[in-house]
Amino acid sequence: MLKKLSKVGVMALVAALLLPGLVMASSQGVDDNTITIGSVGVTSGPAAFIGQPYYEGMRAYFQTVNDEGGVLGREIELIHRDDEFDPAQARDHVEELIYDEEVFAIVGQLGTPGVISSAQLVSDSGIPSVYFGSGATELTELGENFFPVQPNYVYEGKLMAKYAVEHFEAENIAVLYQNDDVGRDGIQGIREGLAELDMEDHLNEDAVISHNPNQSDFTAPMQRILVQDPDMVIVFSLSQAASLIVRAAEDFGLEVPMLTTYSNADASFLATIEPSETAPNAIHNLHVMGWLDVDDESLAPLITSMEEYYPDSTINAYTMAGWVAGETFVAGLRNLEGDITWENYIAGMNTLEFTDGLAAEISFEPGVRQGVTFMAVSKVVEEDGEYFFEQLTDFMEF
Amino acid sequence: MHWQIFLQNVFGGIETGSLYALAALGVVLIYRVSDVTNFAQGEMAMFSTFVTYTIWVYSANAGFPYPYIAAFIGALIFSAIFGFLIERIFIRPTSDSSLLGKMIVTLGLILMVNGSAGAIFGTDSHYMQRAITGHIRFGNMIIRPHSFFVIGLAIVIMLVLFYMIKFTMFGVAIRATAQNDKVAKLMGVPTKKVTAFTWIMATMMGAIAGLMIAPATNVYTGMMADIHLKSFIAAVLGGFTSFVGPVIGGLMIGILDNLVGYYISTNWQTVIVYGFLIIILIFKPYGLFGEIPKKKV
Repeated sequence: MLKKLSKVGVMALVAALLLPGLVMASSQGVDDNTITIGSVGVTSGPAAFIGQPYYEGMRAYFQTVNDEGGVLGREIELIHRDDEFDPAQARDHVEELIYDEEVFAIVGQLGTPGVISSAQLVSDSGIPSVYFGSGATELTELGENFFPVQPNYVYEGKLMAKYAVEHFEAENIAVLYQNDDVGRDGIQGIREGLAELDMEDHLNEDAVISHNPNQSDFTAPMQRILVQDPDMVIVFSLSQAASLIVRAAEDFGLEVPMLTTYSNADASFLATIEPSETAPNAIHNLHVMGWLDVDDESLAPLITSMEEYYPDSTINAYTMAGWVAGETFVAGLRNLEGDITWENYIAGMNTLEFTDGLAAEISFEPGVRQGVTFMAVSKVVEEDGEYFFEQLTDFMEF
Repeated sequence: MHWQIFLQNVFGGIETGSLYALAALGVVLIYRVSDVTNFAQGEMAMFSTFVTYTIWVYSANAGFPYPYIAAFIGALIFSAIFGFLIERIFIRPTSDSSLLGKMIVTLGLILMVNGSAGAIFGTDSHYMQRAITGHIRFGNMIIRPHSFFVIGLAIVIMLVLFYMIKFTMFGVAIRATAQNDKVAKLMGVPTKKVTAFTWIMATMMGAIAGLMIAPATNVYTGMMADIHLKSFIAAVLGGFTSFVGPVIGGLMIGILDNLVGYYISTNWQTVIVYGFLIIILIFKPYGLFGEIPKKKV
C-alpha cells in the first residue's frame, strides 16, 4: 500500500513539476488583454542606423493594430532589448525574453550574428520566432518554429544569376563581393544559380573578386574587374562598401550594368553615394534587387502610421522591414485556429499565404522555410536632381 | 598596359597610406609626450569630422562662397577646444594613475565619444567632398589631385612635428616632460601646459585626418574603425617614437595592400600583407625607425 502510494506520489510530483511547465510553454505571454512578444536588435552604436528605423516601423505597425482593436481581442505589447550588435548580448536577451519575460514569440530579431548565436536556444525552447532582420541561409534550416521572411543571400544570389543572363543578357559576368558571411552566401548562390541554368561558363573564376567589408580603397579590385572586360558586374556588398564601389566605378570608367543586393534597395543608400557629385554616370548603371512590392497604395498604411507615431522620422527600407515583421506576426495570429498556443500558432503559420502586405507574398509550408522567393530588379532614376529606385522588371522566382 | 596598372595600384596605395599616416601622427605625438597610447584618437577624429561636416553643410546652405574652407577652419577651432576639454576633464585628473589606467581611460573615451556622436549627429552615413575635387587621366591611369594634397599634408605635418620636437624650446619641454615629468616640473617646465597643448595638437591633427579620410569612407560613426586600426599598425611598423616612421609605415601598408590585392589575391590580401609586416617586426621589434630604449647601468 505504502509502495503504491509512493508510486502515485512520485507520479503526482512529476506531473506537478511538468504540467505547469507544459501549460506555461504553450501559452506564455498571453492573457485576456495582451499578447506580449519580444525582439532583440541593435538600436545603439554604429549599427543603430539600421535598428532605429526598423523598430520604429515595427512599433508603428503594432500601435496601428492596437488602435484598431488589437488582434484576437488582445493588444500586442512589444518588449525590445538592444544587443548593440553583440551576439553574446543577443543570446542573453533572447534567453531573458523567453524564460524571464515569458513572451509569446520572438519577432523580428535583428542582425545575423545575434540570430545565429541564439538559434539553439530558440530551437530548444520551441518558441515561435517570426521574421529575422537577416538574410543568413542557416535560418531556412533551423526548425519548424523558425519563420524567416527576408530572402536569404544564397537564394538571392541564384536569382541575381538568373536576372544577369536572362534580363541583362550577360555572357561575361564579374562579381565583387564582400568577404564575410553575406558576400560568401551571395557568391555561392550566384555559382549555384549559373550551374542550375547550365551557364557556368558565363562566370570566369578570375572575375570573382572579394574585398574586405571595411575596405576604403577599391583600386585593386576595380583594376582586376577592368582587366576581365565584363559585360555586367554583380556587387554583393552591403551599403557602406557598395557606395564606395559605385564611386570607384565612376572614377575608373566602368560602364556596364551593376546589380547589387536588396540590402541596398533604399534611397538612403543612394544618398550616401551623393551621385551628382561622385558618380553622375555610374549611378545610371546601378540596379538593385528588391523583395518589397512597394507602390503608393501599398505604402499608404505605413506612411499614415509613421506620420502619426513617428512624425520626425524618415521612412526607409529598414522602416519597411520592421513593418513587414509586424505584418507577418499578426498575419500568423489571424491564421491561428483554437487557443493561442505555440503549437496552434506554428500550425497557422504553416498554412499562411499572406499577400496583403508590403512583400509580394509570404507563405510557409511544413518543412519549407525559404522566406520570400519573389524578387524584382529596380534601376536608379533621376528626377529634378533626386535619385531613387524604380522597378524595372516583374517579380520573379528562381 | 601592365606598367599603368602597377602605377595605378601604387598611386592608390600612396593616397590611402597617407590617410593612415595622418591618422597615426596624432597618436604618436601623445605617446611621445606621455607614454599613453590614445586608443580614442580615431573616435575623436570622427567626432571632429561630424562637426566639420555640419559646418560644411550649413555654410553651403547659407550661401557662403567657400564652405570647405569655413569647415576646415571650424574643424581646427572646434578640435582645439575639444582636445583641451578631453585633457582637462579626463586625462589630467588621472595623471597620477598608472599607464594602464590612463589607457583604460582612453578606451572608455571610445565608447563615450562614439555614443555621443550617434546621439548628437545621428547614425546615417554622409558624403563629404574631397579637398580638391575631380581627377586627371593619363591613358588608363587616374590621378586625383586630392591625393597629392593628402600626401603633402602628411609630409608637412610630419616635418613640422619633427622640427618642433628637435629644434624649439617647446620641443625641449616636450622631451623633458616625456622623459620625467616630475623632474621637468622641478626644472621649471610647465608640464601641465605641455601635456594640454599636446592633446590639443593631436586632436587638431585628428580633425584634419578625419576631414581627409571622410571622402574615402563617408562621414558616419564607424568611419574610423578600419583606418584607425591600420594607423596603429603603421605607427608600430614605422616606430612609435618616430614621426617619419608612421608615414613610411602607412605608405607601405597602403601600397602593399593594393599590390597584393591585384597581383596575388584579394582573399588573402590581409593575411599576406600583415603576415609580412609581422616578419618585419620580428627583425625590427621597435619598428623601422623606432629608437631602441637605452638603459644606463
